[in-house]
Amino acid sequence: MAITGHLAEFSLAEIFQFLEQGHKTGLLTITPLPEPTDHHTSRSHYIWFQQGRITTAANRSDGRGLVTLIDKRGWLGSHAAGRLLKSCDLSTPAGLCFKSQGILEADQLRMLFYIQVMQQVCALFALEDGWFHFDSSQKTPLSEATGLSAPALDVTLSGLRALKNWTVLEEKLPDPNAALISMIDGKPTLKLKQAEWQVWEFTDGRTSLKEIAKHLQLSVRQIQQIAFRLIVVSLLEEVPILKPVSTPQPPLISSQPPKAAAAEATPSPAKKLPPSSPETVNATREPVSQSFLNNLMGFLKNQA
Amino acid sequence: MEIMRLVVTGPVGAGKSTFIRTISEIEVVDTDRRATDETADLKSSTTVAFDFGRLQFGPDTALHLYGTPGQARFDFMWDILIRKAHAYIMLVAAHRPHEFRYSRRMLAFMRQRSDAPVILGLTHMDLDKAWSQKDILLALGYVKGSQQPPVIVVNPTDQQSTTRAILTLVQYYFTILQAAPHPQVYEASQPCS
Amino acid sequence: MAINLEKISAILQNFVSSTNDVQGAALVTPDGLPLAATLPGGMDEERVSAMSAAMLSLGERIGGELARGSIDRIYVEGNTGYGILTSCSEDAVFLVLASQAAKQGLLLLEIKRAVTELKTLLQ
Repeated sequence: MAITGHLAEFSLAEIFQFLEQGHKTGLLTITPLPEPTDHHTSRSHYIWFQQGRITTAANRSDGRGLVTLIDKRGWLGSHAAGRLLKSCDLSTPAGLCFKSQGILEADQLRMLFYIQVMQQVCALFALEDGWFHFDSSQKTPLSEATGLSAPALDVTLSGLRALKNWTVLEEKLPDPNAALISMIDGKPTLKLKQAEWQVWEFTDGRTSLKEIAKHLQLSVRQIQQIAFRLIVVSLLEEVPILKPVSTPQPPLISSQPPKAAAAEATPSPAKKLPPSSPETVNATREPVSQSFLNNLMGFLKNQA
Repeated sequence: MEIMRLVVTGPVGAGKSTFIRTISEIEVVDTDRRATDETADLKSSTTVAFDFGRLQFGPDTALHLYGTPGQARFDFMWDILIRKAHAYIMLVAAHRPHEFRYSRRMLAFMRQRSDAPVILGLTHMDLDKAWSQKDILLALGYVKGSQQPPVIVVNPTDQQSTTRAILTLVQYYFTILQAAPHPQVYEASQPCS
Repeated sequence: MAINLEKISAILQNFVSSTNDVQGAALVTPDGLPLAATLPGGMDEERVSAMSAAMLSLGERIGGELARGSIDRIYVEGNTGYGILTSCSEDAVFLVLASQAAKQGLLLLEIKRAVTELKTLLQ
């Protein structure tokens, strides 16, 4: 089943998190909106996933992205890559074929993968809007594959770290009054930056983003952005802070005449409403009886 | 009179008020006000306190249904309503993926305040742009291995469909109650020592 | 016609600073969004607005279903002060927060005057 939508609604970071968590395999097509009028710029970007990992990416659909990248480097002489590709076995990624033939080194493959995925895909996080389409029937084309792959979350982290303009993600950012909790056991295995580690240290479900900002002497906006990064790579989740609806002021007994203070201490039950207790969860919820439920289910079954 | 309280929650425009209006036997107590925020693009009025509906099915037995507002600025109403709910249904519009993250936050809010059983009601599943049930669960943060709530496709304007949704919720509450006796019941049976 | 928010804000500020024992005031839309507010520090404008709208809508429901007629005012009396909601027009609700020391008669009179003033600006 295909998944489509607009980036302004479901951001690239969320799509990546979704594809990673669902261990999805397929082709994600991103078409920027408004569509570029310049004919030299390609219309769409293609990113292939295998089991939630990004295997390759290209801005063309003719399967010649990788050889073009190799040609640009001049490693094999002009147009040699395309010819050599023809001699490759059709069941292994092109990159591995070149390596086994001794044409390319492992380092060169890594560099190609870096350009393909890290550079090309990271730039897509800056798109203000675009149309996305995920087709799970499309497998990674071998001619575009280096044989390397990266977790989508690594790419998200890099992409969002480099992002300058956050207006598109504005309403997705966590609430400054919310706190953070960890979604994993133990410490993250992703490589985090110093500020990200510092925010990670505050995942206690009690400290609000505003307070974290104060502690770390960063702006609330910066903390929101860091927290968002860690949320979309599934390390954290934001939670509202459980706070009483009102914080009753302690009565200022010293400033009151003794009589008033005494009256305050023993309120007449008829006059004063019982205070609700927001801290106790489910204090007022008694379970429903078995016979009630049986009757109700019978009643609903008749209606439905 | 024995009463079971159910809450219908979810983002703006998921169909909460409609749901309650469809299933309630009494004229629904609503607190709709003309929308002046971005909600106005979606619909003309919005719930600001709660909707209330009722289903009486015996001389001393009734089901009370409360619908929450959708916008987060009314989270104090979410808080008030969820604490007294025996169970709740979260309505999510399947064709509005931009609300999935918001729904996820709403669920976190509810879960932090209540251990009441929850089911997901997916609305607008008949539209072309609707996501599949599996993909929506994933986007709401229910990854493989995590415990997933029962999911039902619901049309808030259809009486049979809403009744089935409520039946699913009550049945789920029933199985949870059977599986783990409520702590209050357990405590009551303890001898005083 | 555009609503003159600057003037409304000025009226609220003036009301809070010149009326004895008044701690804050806000004008909000019936669906719970702030139009203008002068509130004590630490109170969130959005939250106050949403609460006012919820309260008023429930009050109006009570007025209707329990045959109390249309609602002029909703009064919340706590042990440290008052919260008073007054319907201002179809498009606005006026909330006043006053301390325990406030004289009720005087307060209501001042609110009435402010509401009249606000109403002309909201038309």
